[in-house]
Amino acid sequence: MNRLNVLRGARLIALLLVFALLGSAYAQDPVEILYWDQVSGDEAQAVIETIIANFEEAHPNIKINREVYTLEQLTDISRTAIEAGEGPDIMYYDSGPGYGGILGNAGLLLSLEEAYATYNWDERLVSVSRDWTTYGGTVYGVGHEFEAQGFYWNKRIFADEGIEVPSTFEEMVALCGTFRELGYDPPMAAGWADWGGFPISHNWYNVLANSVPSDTVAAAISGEYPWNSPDIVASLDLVVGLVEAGCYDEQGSATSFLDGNAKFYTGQAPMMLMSTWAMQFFTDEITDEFGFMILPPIEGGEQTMIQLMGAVWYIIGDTEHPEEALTFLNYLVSDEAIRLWIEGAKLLPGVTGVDFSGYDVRPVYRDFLNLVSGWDGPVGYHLDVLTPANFNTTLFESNVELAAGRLTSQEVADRINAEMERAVEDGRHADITG
Amino acid sequence: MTDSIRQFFANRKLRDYATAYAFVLPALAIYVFFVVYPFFYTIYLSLTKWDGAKPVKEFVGFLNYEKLFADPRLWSALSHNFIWIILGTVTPVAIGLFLGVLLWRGVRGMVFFRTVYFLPVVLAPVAVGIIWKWMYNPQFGPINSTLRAVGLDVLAKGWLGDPYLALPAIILAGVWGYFGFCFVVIMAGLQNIDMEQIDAALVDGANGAQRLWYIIIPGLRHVLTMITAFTLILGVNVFDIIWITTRGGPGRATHVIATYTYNTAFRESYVGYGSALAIVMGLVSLVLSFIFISIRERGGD
Repeated sequence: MNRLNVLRGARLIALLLVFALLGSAYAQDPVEILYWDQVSGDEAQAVIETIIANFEEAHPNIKINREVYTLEQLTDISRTAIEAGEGPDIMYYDSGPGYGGILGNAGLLLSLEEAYATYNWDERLVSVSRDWTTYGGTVYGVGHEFEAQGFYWNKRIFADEGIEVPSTFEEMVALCGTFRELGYDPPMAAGWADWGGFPISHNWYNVLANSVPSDTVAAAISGEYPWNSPDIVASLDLVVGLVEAGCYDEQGSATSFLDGNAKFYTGQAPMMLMSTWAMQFFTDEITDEFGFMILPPIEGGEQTMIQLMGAVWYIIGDTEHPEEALTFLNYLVSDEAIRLWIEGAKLLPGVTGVDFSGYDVRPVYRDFLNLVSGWDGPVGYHLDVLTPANFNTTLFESNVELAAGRLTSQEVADRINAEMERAVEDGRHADITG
Repeated sequence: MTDSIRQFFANRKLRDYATAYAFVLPALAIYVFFVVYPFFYTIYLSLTKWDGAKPVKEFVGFLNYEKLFADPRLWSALSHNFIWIILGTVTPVAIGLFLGVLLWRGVRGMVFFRTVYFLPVVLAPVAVGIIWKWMYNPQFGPINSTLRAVGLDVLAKGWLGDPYLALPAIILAGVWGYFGFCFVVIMAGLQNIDMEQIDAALVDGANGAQRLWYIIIPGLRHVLTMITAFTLILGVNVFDIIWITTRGGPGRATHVIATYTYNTAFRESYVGYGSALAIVMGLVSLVLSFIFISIRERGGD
């Protein structure tokens, strides 16, 4: 080997080394997406981790750094973090004027108008995904955890006691007395010591939707119809009726939400009014089978289903990687992810046109999937994702006092009406009548 | 220039001043940055309408302060603060004084008692809140379990869920976490009581109550003034233990001005109005402390 060949060889090796180094540096430096999440529960945590791993495998140039917070933490830190340039690229946060609306209206979120067209999300996602994440005329979010409010019953207890599933709201209320006489305490599981007393308010949304027409409720949400009108007051009276019929735990206001629900899971309470979100807690250790249906119709009213989105994915306005963030967002609602969400976490992404028949899920969850996919009746509103934060706080606090007998329905209605007037004055309400 | 610097350092008085300022300035800078600036910025925010996110803060003058007067939630929260101030001040000071006097002359196991009484003070209020939330749990809590075990089922309650019991229940938790501080400070103050006066009073036939009222309490006046003023301020600013146990609930039964302020500014995003509430909270704290110390000092003279 002469000297020239040695030099040529050395030059070639050096060149290859440089390319290899450059290549490896490029390969080792994927785009990093910071993802702030509020997914809770072991099964759901495992699912999101799997989805991220699958995504990173399919997209080696993107790395997802997931950080988990509670909703309260996100509310506390997101605004300042985003404004300081320290926020995430994607955030899984709640919808409504009091949550995503604040950020969207302040210009802190990325408009997804173009993405909805590019990824055909209007076809792929349920309509409330766009409707409930549109603030000031611009859509900012992709909804997830598509849920319905409804009535659960313990099939074993109902069969053992020879009790029929109620076909009307009035029959359901009457069952509270029957179950009390049979020694079930409480007949209806609920605890509202934490989270501002929202469970009892969620029960009211259900009653409201089934007793007041949806367009009237939409007008009230939009600040165009008074919340202290007689029909709305009457719907609050129906909640008082549930209390007076002995449906709830006497210690409901001292019992946490999860402890309250646990009384249903463990068979202590035969009934529960709750959203389908609770199904994620039906673990394999629970042997009882449960039934789920939407609230039985109130006499004189039309049976109405309340649909809601548990939370929403937003992309932050000043993200340096909007394309990669959108790619990840689209993957979160992809066919591959949907099966994982449903089978693993019992959470339903807000998608349409999916055939759930081959999915491996518990019967009660299949009931819900079938119910949602086949529902063509009226749809009501889940208030607190559409009403302003000051309205929600007052509503939650006041309904706890209503249940305790410290306020009348009229007083609760007057309070929330005043809060809506305040929100309208400050331009913090949602207009959903258009 | 060099001469003037040399002259400056030659002047001992100026040099001492410069040294003193050099030591004080870093602490002053931190104080200005973390206390003075936020204080004045909060005043500015209280004159605006702002949701905490929009880039523009709308100046509204004293509108937020005008709204305060017509806000029933503020008055309700303030009334809870006053209940807290009265019960939360009198009770731990009284317990601390009682225990202090009891153990003052030395008893067997003094170190043990002092340690046990002081132990809750080392816990953060958040920890105290968690402990008592568990104690009050209607299903598994030791209080209800004990009551049921001794046949007093009728007294077992949802302590933190009862609008009438929740505030006293949290105050009790707060007192448990604080009386040890009063006890230790009072014990220290008792060391300065003139024993000759006590002995003289004994010779004169003064009973225990008379010795307490005429000798011990006057002898402790500076200590009592200090801990009472301190406890008053804590009563106005109380937040963490309430937030951990009830978050102001059930309903509004345990909201105090600090929890209401936090709720308004951060949960409801009314930052301008929340800032006005924070200023009111500071003023109440300042005025109460001033009044108390003035009365006490006048009494002392």
